[in-house]
Amino acid sequence: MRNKWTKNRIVRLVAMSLCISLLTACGLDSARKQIDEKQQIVNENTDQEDVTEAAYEEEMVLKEVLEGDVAPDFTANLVDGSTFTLSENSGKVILLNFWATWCGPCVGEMPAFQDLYEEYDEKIEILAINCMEDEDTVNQFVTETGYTFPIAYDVDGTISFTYPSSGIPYTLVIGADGIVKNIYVGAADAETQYKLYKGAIDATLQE
Amino acid sequence: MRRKLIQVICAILYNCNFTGFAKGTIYQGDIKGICVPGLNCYSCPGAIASCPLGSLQAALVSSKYKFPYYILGMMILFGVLLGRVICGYLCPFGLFQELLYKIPSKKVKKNRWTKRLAYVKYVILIVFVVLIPLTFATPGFCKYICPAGTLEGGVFLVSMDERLQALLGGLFSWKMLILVLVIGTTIFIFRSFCRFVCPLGAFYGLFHKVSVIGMKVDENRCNGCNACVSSCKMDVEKVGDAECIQCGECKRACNQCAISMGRKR
Repeated sequence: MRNKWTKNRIVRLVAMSLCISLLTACGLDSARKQIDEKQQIVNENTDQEDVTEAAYEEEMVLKEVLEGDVAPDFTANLVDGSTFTLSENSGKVILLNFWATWCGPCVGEMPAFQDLYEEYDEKIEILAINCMEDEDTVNQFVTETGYTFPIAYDVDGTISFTYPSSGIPYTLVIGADGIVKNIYVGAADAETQYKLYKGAIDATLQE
Repeated sequence: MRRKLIQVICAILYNCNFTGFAKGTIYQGDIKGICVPGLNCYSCPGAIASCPLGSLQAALVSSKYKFPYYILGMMILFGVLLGRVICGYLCPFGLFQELLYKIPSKKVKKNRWTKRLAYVKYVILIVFVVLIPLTFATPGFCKYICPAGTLEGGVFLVSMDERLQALLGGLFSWKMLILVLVIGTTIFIFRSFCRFVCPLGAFYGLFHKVSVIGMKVDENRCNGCNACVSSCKMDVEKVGDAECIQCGECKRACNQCAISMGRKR
């Protein structure tokens, strides 16, 4: 009785580990492949010299954007039906935000973007890019909250992959010269974030 | 011994994105789309999959836009198949607590107070995991309580990312306090977090009557000596009830060899 159990258990344990490691291996492979494809798209879009294939081999994922880097170009589809291309807006200070409806701090700081949008009007561009949720979810959120600042879809995550981050909310202030001036990960309440972003935008506008 | 081996393998498999620990970055590939059965923070730099409890709260926060069929279905599947076998075998935080309990010290045995405290985890499940995410749109358990998150996500990530250090405040101190309390009490009280706090264990415990795999008692052999229950360090009333983590320690206590683990139905 006991012996049979031991044998059974060991067989089961081995089978389980095999299954899990197989699953893990395949998953990593497909994830890698996907990143590969994304990498190609990014390279075609931006011609970024520093994101070389060799660097990628070493890093496995795209290089994180740093303060002082040229902001990688992208084109996003907005909730209002128009499109936004970063390179077409050079010469303007841009506040770029990555968010999702399930992300508490992201939703919490959104009044700050609305206030900044109304305050600066045409002087700056604000764009909040949703991270990989479907269009219906985003539409419903926008209808319910009534925000009027530009919000974009990124259903397949192409833009999110171009701007890799360990978490959202992830917000960048990009100067008129296309250089990333400030990067913020995480957020406190809307009031604190408003002051923080306003300070950064004013400093960037004065450059 | 075999159980410890499974627990260690599990803890490593859950957190096998080793480069993440070196760089302080989080794995964001496809496997993050599935959940591990145990409590393992998905903000851990090593984590390759998601925490069911964290995912559930995140899903409930945005449940205005989408009902969490996927995550609830996955958790119910885990519950129906394994129930609290997950607590005993597949949970890294359970392993962590069992190792802490090995530190030699005076130990507090279960008593009627610990049995009462065991109900607290159901309250936490309802209030912090379900009600707070639904009403205040914030993941209550992850945010205010979860010591596994503080340990795996908080400590590692924050120590490696200066931008996150700038955000530290009262909440971080509060969660560190809870982590220290859990570690402290676990040295004296066996699996104190699992027994009194863990809402995931509470959820899986709900399936103790229906789960496919678990502890079985051969009624023909059992002589009713109750050695199993009195030797058990959890707050069980009988083998295999909602408090039972199916670890099988009671098999050793039973001189009738009436207890076994396997398919219950």
